[in-house]
This record gives sequence, C-alpha cells and structure tokens, in this order.
Amino acid sequence: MTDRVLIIGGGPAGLEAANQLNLLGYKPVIVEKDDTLGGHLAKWDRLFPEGESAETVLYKLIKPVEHTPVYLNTIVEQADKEGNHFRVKLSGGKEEIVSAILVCAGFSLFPAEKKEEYGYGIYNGVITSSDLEKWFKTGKGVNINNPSKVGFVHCVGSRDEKICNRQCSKVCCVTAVKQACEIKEKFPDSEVFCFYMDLRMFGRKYEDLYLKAQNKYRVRFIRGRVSEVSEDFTGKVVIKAEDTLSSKPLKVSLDLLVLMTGMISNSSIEELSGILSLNRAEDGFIEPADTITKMYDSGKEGIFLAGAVTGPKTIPETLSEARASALAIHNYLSNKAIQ
Amino acid sequence: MIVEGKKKIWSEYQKDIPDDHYFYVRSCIRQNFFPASEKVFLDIVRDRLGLDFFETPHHTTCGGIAYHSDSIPQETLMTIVARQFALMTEAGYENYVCSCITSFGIYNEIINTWFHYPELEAKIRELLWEASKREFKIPKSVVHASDVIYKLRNKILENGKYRLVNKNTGEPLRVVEHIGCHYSKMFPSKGVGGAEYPYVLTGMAEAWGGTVIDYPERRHCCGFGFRQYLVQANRGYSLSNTHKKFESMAPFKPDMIITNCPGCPYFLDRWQYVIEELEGKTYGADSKGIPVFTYEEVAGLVLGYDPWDLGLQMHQTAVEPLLDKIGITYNKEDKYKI
Amino acid sequence: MSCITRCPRKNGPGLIIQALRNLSQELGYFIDSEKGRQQLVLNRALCGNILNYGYCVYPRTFHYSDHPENGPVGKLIEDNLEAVHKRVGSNLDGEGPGILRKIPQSDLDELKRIFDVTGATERMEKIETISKKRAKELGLSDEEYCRQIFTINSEEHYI
Repeated sequence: MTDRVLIIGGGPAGLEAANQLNLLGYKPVIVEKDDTLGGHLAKWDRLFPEGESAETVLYKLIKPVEHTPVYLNTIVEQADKEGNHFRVKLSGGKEEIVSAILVCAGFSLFPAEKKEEYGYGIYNGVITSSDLEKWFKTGKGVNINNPSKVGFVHCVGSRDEKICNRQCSKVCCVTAVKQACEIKEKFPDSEVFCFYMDLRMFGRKYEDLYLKAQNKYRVRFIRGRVSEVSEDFTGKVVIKAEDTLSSKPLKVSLDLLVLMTGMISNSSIEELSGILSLNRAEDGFIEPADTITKMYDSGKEGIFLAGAVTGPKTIPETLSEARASALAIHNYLSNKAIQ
Repeated sequence: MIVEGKKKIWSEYQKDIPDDHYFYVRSCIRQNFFPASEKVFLDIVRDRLGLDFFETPHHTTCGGIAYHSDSIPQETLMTIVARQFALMTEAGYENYVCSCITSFGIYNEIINTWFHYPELEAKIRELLWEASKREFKIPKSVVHASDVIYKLRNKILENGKYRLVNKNTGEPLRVVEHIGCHYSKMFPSKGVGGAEYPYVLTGMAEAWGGTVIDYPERRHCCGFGFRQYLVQANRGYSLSNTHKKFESMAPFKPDMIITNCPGCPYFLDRWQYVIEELEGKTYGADSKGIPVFTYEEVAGLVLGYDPWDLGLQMHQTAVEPLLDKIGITYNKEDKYKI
Repeated sequence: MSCITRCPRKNGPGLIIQALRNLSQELGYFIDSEKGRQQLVLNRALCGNILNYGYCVYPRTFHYSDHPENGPVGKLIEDNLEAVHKRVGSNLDGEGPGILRKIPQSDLDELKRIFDVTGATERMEKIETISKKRAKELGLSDEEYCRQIFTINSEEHYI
C-alpha cells in the first residue's frame, strides 16, 4: 500500500511538499481551512525583491499538484495514533488514515487595530500592507486616489513587547520598500516616507531594491517609530514621529498611511497544537525539536513541520523547508518499511 | 473617521465603577482654582442621588505634585498614600474615589508597584507604622470622580434642564474633550475607553447632547508638566504645549472644552488669556476664547445650577458665549458679586 | 508619563528621568545645571505647603505676582480670597471637612513624621545646604538666589 500523508494547510509550504511527496511516490492529501489554495500568496500581487507576479508563482506551485486530493473548508478535529498510522477525523464527518502528518498551517497577519495609536479602522486614510497589496491586485477594498503623500510604518505588531509580539516578522522591511516603489510607479509625483526602526535587508537583491527606492524613486527613509496618528480637519492623516538620526520630532500630514503588519502565529494554531500535542514557543509559533538542524521535526513521531508555522519566513525559505520536510517524511517512512 | 472602530475599542475598555459607598479625597489644585466643582460633585451624588460619599477632614494632599517635581522621594509619596488608605480603612470603606487625576495615576502606580514588589509594600507598611501607628488595606476599587459622573451621566440627563445643544440652530455643540495624562496613559485598562480614545468625557458629552471633536493634538498634554509650570523660568514649555493644542483644534470650531484633570482646565483657560495678551489671538467665535469647563461644571449646567454657584466667574476665559448658545439664564450683575 | 503608552519595550523613560534626578540630588550634582538648581524653589514651595498646610498648592502662598498668567480674574480672587471662596462654598481654613479646610495640626505632625522616616526631610536639608553654599559663592542673598533660579532662563540649560 502506498503511504498517505496528510498535509495541513494549502499555502506555499503545503503545495510544494505535496508536489515533492508525489514525486517521491507517496499519496499526499491536503486539508485547507479556507475555500481556496495558496494561503496569503493568493491574496498578494507582486513579490519582493524583483516584483514577480504572485499569481505566476502560485500557478507554478498549484499546477504540479492539480490531481492531488484536497479538502477545502476543512479542519482537523481529531488525530489518534494507531500503530504506524494516524486516524484523522476531519470536519464534515470525513476521515483519513495516514502514515504521517505534515503541519503547514502558516501564519496570521497581526490585527493592526490592536496598535490603537495608529488608528486602523478609525481613520479613513490608514490601511495595512495587506489592504494595499489587495488594491494593487484588484483595485478594490480601499479608496486610493492619487495621493500626494504616503507613509509606511514598519514593525506594526512586530518587535513590540507591549502587544506581546517580540519577534521580527522578517519580511515587512523589504515588503515596505517594494510597496513604496510601487506607489511611486503608480503615482510618480507622490512623496513617500518609510518610518523604520532598523532596515533588515538580509536577502539577496534586497539591498538593490533598497538602493533603487532611494536613488530612483526618492523614497525618504526616516529612522524612528511613528508614535501616534490622528486626522486633521480636511481628513488627512497626521502622524507624529521622531527622526532619531537628526534627533528631531516630526509631524507630517499624509493622504495615506500604510501599516506594515507583521506575521504572528496562525489564529488556528492553538487548537491544532492541542489536537496534535505540539509544543508552542513563547511567541505562539510551533517549537521544532531542533531549531538548527531539524526545523521540520515536531518531536512527535510521524508529525512534521514546514513553513511559517515555526516562525516568520520568506517564500523561498518556506519552499526549501517544504522540500526538506518531504525528504524527512520519505526517510521516516522508508525506515518504517525496513523495520 | 469611522465611529464603529472607536465603539469597538470603547467596548473593550470598560472598568468596574462601584454603585455606592465611597471614600472621597479632594484635589489640591481643584480646591484652589475650581472649588465649586468639588462642591457640585458632592451635591449631585449625595444630595440629589442620595449616595454615600464619605469625606474625612484628616485627609491631606497625596504628595503627587511634589513627587512629580522630584521634591519628595518615592517612599515619602507611598507612605502619604498609605496613610490615606489607612484613613479609608479606619472609616470602614473599600471604594476609593479621588478628585484629582495626578492622584488617580499615583494610586494606580503605587498599587501596581506593590503588586510587583511586595517587599516595597511591606517596607511602606513599616514606615507608616513608625510614623503614625496606622495600618491599611489596599482599596478594592480606585476610581476617579469623572468615572462616577460618567456612570451617572444618563441619570443627570434625566434630571437635566439643559442640553449641550445650540438653542438657535438645534445643532449639537461641538465639544473638545481633554483627558488628564495620568488618567489612562500609564494604565490604559484603568480608564473608561482606554488610553488612545478615552470615552469617559466623550460619553458625558454625547449623553448630554453634544458632539465630540477628534483633532490632531487631542492626546497632547495641556502643558502643566509640573516643574514646567511651577518654576516661572520654565513656563514657556507649558504655554507652548497649550498653544499647540489650540492651533490644532481651532479649525474644528469647538464651542467648548471639557476636562477631567485639575491642571488642564486651569492651563487651557489661563493660557488662552496669555496668548490673547501676547499675540492678540483668540480661538473662539467673535474674537472670544473657547470656554473651558470641568466635567462637574458641565454636569451642573445640564442640571440647571446657577453658573455663578458653579464658580464659573473664577475662569479667566469668559463662559458667557457658551451659556448664551445653550440658552442658560443667568444674571450678568451677579457674576462678581461677593 | 505619556511615554509609557508608546514604548514598544514597555519602558518608562519618565521614570528613568525621575531616577536620575533623584540621584543627582543624592550626589549633589543638581547644583551644576540650571534646571537642577530650580529644585530649591520647588522644594520650598511644595514641601512648605505640604508640611505647613497639608496641601501641595495653597491659595495664601500662591501669589498673583508670581503668576501673572492668572489674569485679572486671578488678581480679583487674590484680592478677595475669603469672599470668593465663601461665595462658591469653600471652607477656607475652617474646621471640619470641605474645600480648603484647615487640616488639623495632628495630621500635619503625621506628615512631618512621614517626611522624617522616609528620607524627605534629609533630602530637603541637603538641597538647602548645597544651594545656600552656591548662593554664598555667587555672593547672592538667599532671596536674590531664589529669584534668579525661579525667573531666569538662560537658554543654555545645562550650565
């Protein structure tokens, strides 16, 4: 009998792992809680650092697995280990018997309204990076009409102990730079400001994008956190910040303020980690058994991990990890077969 | 502005405000500059509503202004506060209500500090015993007097004679609400509505018929800043803060300002006079100032108190423009009659 | 204390400034800056009011001449203090509870003992001693020195 592997989550990690497991001769089954595959990627327009179309990337991930069984709008309700197998109960009364489970549950976006001082959901001109990306993709959701001044606030819900998220979300810095460039492409006459704590341009070609933002698009990078947001008589967004390089407080009126919302542990992970008896770290993400050599190892026999379920990651990192997990599952099932 | 967003935040910051049986402590600044506000407060809760608000003549300053001006060590402040708590304990009360926002912040700060550092609480208990042979219980509930009026806002409206409505146009009056910094900025959960969009005064203004203005410098300090005002050489800091607020609110054309802190109505009132004297600039209609009130004064106006019984003649910025807008009857000649 | 709401690391810069000011008083460094030297007039006004009257601010020591921003109304109140307070229901210097009541001497004695056992008295004396020494070095009388630190803003606050 060919081993079945249950993949929880149909985002980039789950899709790539399914493809690899298919190639290795297994039968992956994807369980996705939403009504479409692709996770956050499906809602994104273009990707850093080179502006590749998110739709194209998603197509490349979905196409190879188009014949893989998928349960949409479905969650895992129970998982019992029975000998070498797991008996998994799914919502809707379905059941799967599988040899291994791969958890690719991904992340949630930080709910920006929790940073009350930034006025998301209160002031009309305040949107999130996710709202902006949706607008780039569909022209819908928010009203952006030839803004003359646009601000980006980095680290919204990241590196912030006050709201209990100490972790860096890793991708927001470069996403802000990407989105700032895109705003300048669409509205060349606009002035764009990025308010940052540090700029973490760690990936290949990120620095190039950052230089392009400065040299070509004249995006102004201001090192300092925005302290509070309000609205003036004309409806413009007024922000207060400090330029910590010149040690001067700033007050700027903007037409649009974009909050770079960070990655937090998936809102469903509490329930799922309980069902699968997985360990969670202080930051809410799943804690792997070994954070250096075995990020894919949950520490529970037969259960593996991939992607942002163990912390903020870029898409290339997520895909690499999905392949590593597929290989780890292959090794695990091969050893089982020998025994 | 998306009001629903604010309502959501307001719903998340509701604090427990006991119905009755309070130990009441006064504010140093308010007794000096807005004495009638405390009188009206006790009139409303005791005489009109029949509630139990006990005051002992033995209570004193909490020491807050001296503490924030670095004139007394933290241990001194804590021991004075412990003595106030001892007076409450001796009087048989558990609910503590203070007239002062600085005190309110200090009570919350001290109780929170003792929670995290119980050894410090133990030390203060020893110091209080050494100084006065008193013992105390920490209050079950610490609220600010504006929390109480907020809770009673609808009752006040039911018994009200006037509303915050322009009698000529029928339009709600445009209200600037100014919250004392130490009300909820240090401990957002201790204030009705939290720190960013406090609801305590907004709730009163809206209940009484007004509409509240959200202007860019709404959250900014009035400028008191303790030593920024208390030393004459520093007063430019204080004045420039108030100036910043008025420049920011002016385009919204407010009819009035409501405050819940002792110092704020003083500075928002007096510095308007100074700005007019220095620059000839006024922020209200017809070259007049914007009248500034304590929440008790506004409650008193709604209830139909005589403006001069409310002590409104002790304001430097004339209150008459607002009284006329509402249609409150008053005798001009009585204003300074003593 | 507005900083506390803002800091992503839950720090209270205001409290750090407070701690540094306290340290500068303990070590006597306060005398070497304009804002530090102001501590003398703050202490005399605030601690004086607390120990003598039981209030941080007390109307008979709050002089219009030092507070001209109080305007004509402030002057009128000062000139008619008792009548104005009587009109609005204060119990100025009266017995029993109420607005600006006379706080009994036994309570003021307790405040003094609290100052003594918690270090406030010692702190006040230190500020007085160091300040008087500085006034003498400058050849100023106590009154001249106080007037100077209360009114003069050099715009070079650090010296």
